[in-house]
Amino acid sequence: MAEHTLVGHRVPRIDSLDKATGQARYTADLTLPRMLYGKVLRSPHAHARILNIDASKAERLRGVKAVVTGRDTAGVRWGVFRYTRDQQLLTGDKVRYIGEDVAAVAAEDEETAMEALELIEVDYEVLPAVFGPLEAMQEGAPQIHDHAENNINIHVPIEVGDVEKGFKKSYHVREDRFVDSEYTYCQTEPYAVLVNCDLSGNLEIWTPNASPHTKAKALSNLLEMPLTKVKVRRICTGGAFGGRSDIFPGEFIAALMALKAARPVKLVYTREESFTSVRQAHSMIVDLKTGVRKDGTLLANEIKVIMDGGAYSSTGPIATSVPFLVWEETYRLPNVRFNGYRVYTNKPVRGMYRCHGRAFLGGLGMQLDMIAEELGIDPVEMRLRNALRTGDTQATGSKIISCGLSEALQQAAEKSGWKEKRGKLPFGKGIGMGANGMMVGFPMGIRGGSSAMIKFNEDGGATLISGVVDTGSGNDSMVVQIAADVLGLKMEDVNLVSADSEITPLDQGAYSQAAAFVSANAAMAAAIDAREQILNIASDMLDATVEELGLRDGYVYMKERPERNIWMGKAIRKALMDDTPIMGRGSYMPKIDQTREWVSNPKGQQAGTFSFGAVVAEVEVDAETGQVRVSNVTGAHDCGFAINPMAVEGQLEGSVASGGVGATLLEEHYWDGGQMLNASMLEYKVPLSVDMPQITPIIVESMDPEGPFGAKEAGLWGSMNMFQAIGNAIYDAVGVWIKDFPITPDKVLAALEERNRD
Amino acid sequence: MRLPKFEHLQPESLEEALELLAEHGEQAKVIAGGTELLVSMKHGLLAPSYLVNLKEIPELNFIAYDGEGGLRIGALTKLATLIGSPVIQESFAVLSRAASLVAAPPLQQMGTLAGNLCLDTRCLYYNQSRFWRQARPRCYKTGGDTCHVVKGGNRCLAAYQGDVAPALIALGASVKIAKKGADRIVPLADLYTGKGERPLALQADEVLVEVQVAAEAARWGGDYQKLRYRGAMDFPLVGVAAVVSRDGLDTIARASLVLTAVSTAPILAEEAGRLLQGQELTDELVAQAAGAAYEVARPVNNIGSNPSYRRKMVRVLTKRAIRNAWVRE
Ligand SMILES: Cc1cc2nc3c(=O)[nH]c(=O)nc-3n(C[C@H](O)[C@H](O)[C@H](O)COP(=O)(O)OP(=O)(O)OC[C@H]3O[C@@H](n4cnc5c(N)ncnc54)[C@H](O)[C@@H]3O)c2cc1C
Ligand code: SF4
Repeated sequence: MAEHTLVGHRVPRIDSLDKATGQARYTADLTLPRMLYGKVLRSPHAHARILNIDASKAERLRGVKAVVTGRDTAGVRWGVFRYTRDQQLLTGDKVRYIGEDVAAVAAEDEETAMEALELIEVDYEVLPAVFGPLEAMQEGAPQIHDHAENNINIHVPIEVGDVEKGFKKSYHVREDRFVDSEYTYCQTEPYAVLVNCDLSGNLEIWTPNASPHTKAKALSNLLEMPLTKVKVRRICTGGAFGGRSDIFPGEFIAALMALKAARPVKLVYTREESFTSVRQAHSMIVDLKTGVRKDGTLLANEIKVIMDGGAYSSTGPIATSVPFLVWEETYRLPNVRFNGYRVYTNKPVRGMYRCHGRAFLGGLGMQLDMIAEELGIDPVEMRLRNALRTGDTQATGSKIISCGLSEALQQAAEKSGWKEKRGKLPFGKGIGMGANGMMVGFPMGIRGGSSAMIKFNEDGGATLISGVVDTGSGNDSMVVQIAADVLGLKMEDVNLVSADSEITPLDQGAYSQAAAFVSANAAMAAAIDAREQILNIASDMLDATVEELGLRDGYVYMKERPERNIWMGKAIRKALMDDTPIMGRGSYMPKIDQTREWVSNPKGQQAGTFSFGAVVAEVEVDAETGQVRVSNVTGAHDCGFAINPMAVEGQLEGSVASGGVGATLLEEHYWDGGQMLNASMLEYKVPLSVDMPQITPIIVESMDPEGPFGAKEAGLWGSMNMFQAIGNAIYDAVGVWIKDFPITPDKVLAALEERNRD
Repeated sequence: MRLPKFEHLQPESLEEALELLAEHGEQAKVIAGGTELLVSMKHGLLAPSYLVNLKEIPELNFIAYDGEGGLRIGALTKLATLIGSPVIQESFAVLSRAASLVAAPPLQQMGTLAGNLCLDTRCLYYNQSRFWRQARPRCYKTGGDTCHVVKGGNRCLAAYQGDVAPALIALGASVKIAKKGADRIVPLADLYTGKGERPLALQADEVLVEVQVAAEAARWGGDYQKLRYRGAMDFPLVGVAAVVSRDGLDTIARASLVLTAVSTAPILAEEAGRLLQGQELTDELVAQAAGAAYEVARPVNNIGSNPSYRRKMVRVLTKRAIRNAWVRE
């Protein structure tokens, strides 16, 4: 990589300064002339029929400019898939969870809007409600949606090989149940949306999002407006973690009110609303049966997952498939049966989450350790024996084109001192391992690819126009770094226009860990295209062949005689004079089987490529209080190639906080029926800086043949495998398996007491 | 969330403050650091028409110690100042330790000693937004006649979760309370009513002006143990303050153990203290005292974690606090 001046180097992100100094502007910071302030009236009932809504008093209040209720939107339903359209974004007939949107007001100021909400009278007929998936599936349980018997929302069945035969041939079979409570994203930025409309029927929207194009398409459908008129603008997003992916009532409601009042409307949620009325992550119950050969080779798996989906479908089909997918993306599974059920309950809506499912991947990773112990195999060995390798095909048919899982396992073990520590630390201290594989780019139809353009300014600078979406993880910086590297420019000489549904080309958005693999691939292609055009013009000017030329520091030079060079600006001006202006153009569509479907056809190439990782966690357990402290984490990740190693490492640190210390040990919801008792940053325990362990990141580079410069993804390393590592480390420390996440001190203590009793 | 409307009053002397409070009575509320009060106001739990801000009253902000008069700390002393005070670190370690475990450094910079002592009791059904509370009937603490935590309960059991009071009560501290034209000095323990609904024996026109600790306490050893899930920020799930003094080399002259977060007020575990008094410290004795502390703890399911676990932790934390206090003596 010697020729690269930027790619592969540790470079500061282009947005760091703005963010660190508070200059970056988020949705809530924006104001427009004549802007109104919105507020939403929410359901205080978990399940109730709406008999009547009388908003006339609110409408008459001075300063109120628009009031909307379910009557304005009757029949408009949202669902990510055609077959999951079950959510009225302003409900008209029924409420299905506490916090659901019932009506909204836009007024001259926030106080007036709040006052107006109190004037809206809603008559409810309270209905029996159900709060757990198992109860909801029982005969006679209250039915939440007319179409869903036993409240089953989604069922994903997958079967590969001969499972019965696999178990029969197994030397050892184990069954375990793991359970998991829900989590909330707790992005630093609460949900907010600003909508502007004009008299020509244009709608502009600013809201933290993972894909402006997806939002625009959905809103155009919901509002019955041409897509071309719905413009989702670029805005800084303060964290996503999967929680910005879907379409939410807020943007729909704000748009309705803006259209009604013919004025801009801003809606900013409180932290409590961000907890309950956007999205949460699923809780789940996972039954795992695993059969292995004497040497630990996996022979058969039977997996049943029951997920609490809350009141509506959201990304249900994807969410219900993921438990299976992340397992087949890690290990060779010859015979496997999966049944995933997503069940409606009268709880807030559940969506995708970056460390989606402590119970399944955490459970599977812990069960592997249990089996390893029963067979006397080292957990690292156990994983190496079953790990996928380059050239393998996953259970449902995806080819692995690059795989550094074995290397990651070995390096994490070596750097953490696994051999010296595992089973050898004093009581109360322990070490454990976890591993995972992860899809990179999944089927999204026409929105599954990305394209990019580059234009030049007469001073030699460039503007990259890319659909890439940066929800805070550094994607913007990454595409600029790549374009600058390819064009021989400095990063500050490349402007970026991104994530605007009107101006920038289609892009899959910050979903499925695809920004590096797909968006950056497109940006790289555009830069290469532009570079070729520049070199062509310059070859005339320098009287040299294109092959003899290079680009560096804003100059085109002859590689053999660097003193023969021209300023790039000159080539750009010449191109303009010649009426052949330089315009780079590139695109990338991951090689995916587009006929693959989550529920109806879970077969074929699932993703463009897959990333892999392993972590080792060390813990200290206070056996008297049950408190667990994670002291060290060594994480090795096959990101393909590290475009910016500093950014890759930063992603691990984030994973260790939210997927590791937080999700494994702390984060849980307290409920009383359908009401969340701890919807605040004080009572919902997101880890603090003092809770963080020492982190040693190890970057493994498998050089993916498709990825830009070989890159895949780095966003999910750690967050998917930390649960296993910590759960296994706790066992190593004090000899108990905790199968109920999060592993809070009371559970550790109860397990220790039970063991001492036996 | 937005603050309700109020008028902000900024007296420059204690006298002026007391005057304002006498004038506005129940309609006024004292504000010190505001770290608790403003949150409650945003939640709509309180809507005083007037806030009487004490921050410009220099006479309330001091730390004084002398070998005879003992320790006096002004009500408005910031927790950060208290934590940094060398005399408190050296001679009243239990106090600086408890204060250092309150919330997190940014809040210690704002939060004051009196504000901490005068914390309202807390409950997951109470410290919530107005919208949240509207989803269920009013409970005892908000003027209703039910409790959502203890079904069928006949009173409010919201938890007192202050960290500093147990340390000061264990040190035998008193507080000076002033109102227009009158002062009174009462043991700090008597400030707490034990009623979840109205936890403080303080009238609307009264101000806590200073905390006093007798000079002899400077010779005692002390420790504060706090259970929380995260390394900072969280209110205690259980807190135990222990203060012991020695008689000769091995005998405990006097021991005082005070628990927080396991009842509606800080509770003095009298029996635990009595068990230790006049005895030599053994593992068995420590376990007995911890058992006695466990007996008086009454956590209910209203501040997170589970109450039976929290109660067990009273035992563990009491043991640790006694051991540490003894070593420091
Ligand atoms: C996120 C968070 C975490 C917290 N964690 C903890 C914790 O771990 N432990 C803990 O103990 N506390 C905690 N607190 C509560 C609080 O921050 C501290 O207790 C702080 O010391 C309160 O002091 P203040 O000056 O800010 O009080 P204020 O908010 O100003 O006042 C609190 C109450 O005391 C009254 N008051 C204040 N001064 C006087 C006076 N001189 N006379 C009479 N009444 C008075 C006020 O009227 C009000 O009712 C936390 C708060 C937050 C927001
Ligand atoms: S303990 Fe009961 S009465 Fe007191 S605040 Fe909580 S719910 Fe209300």
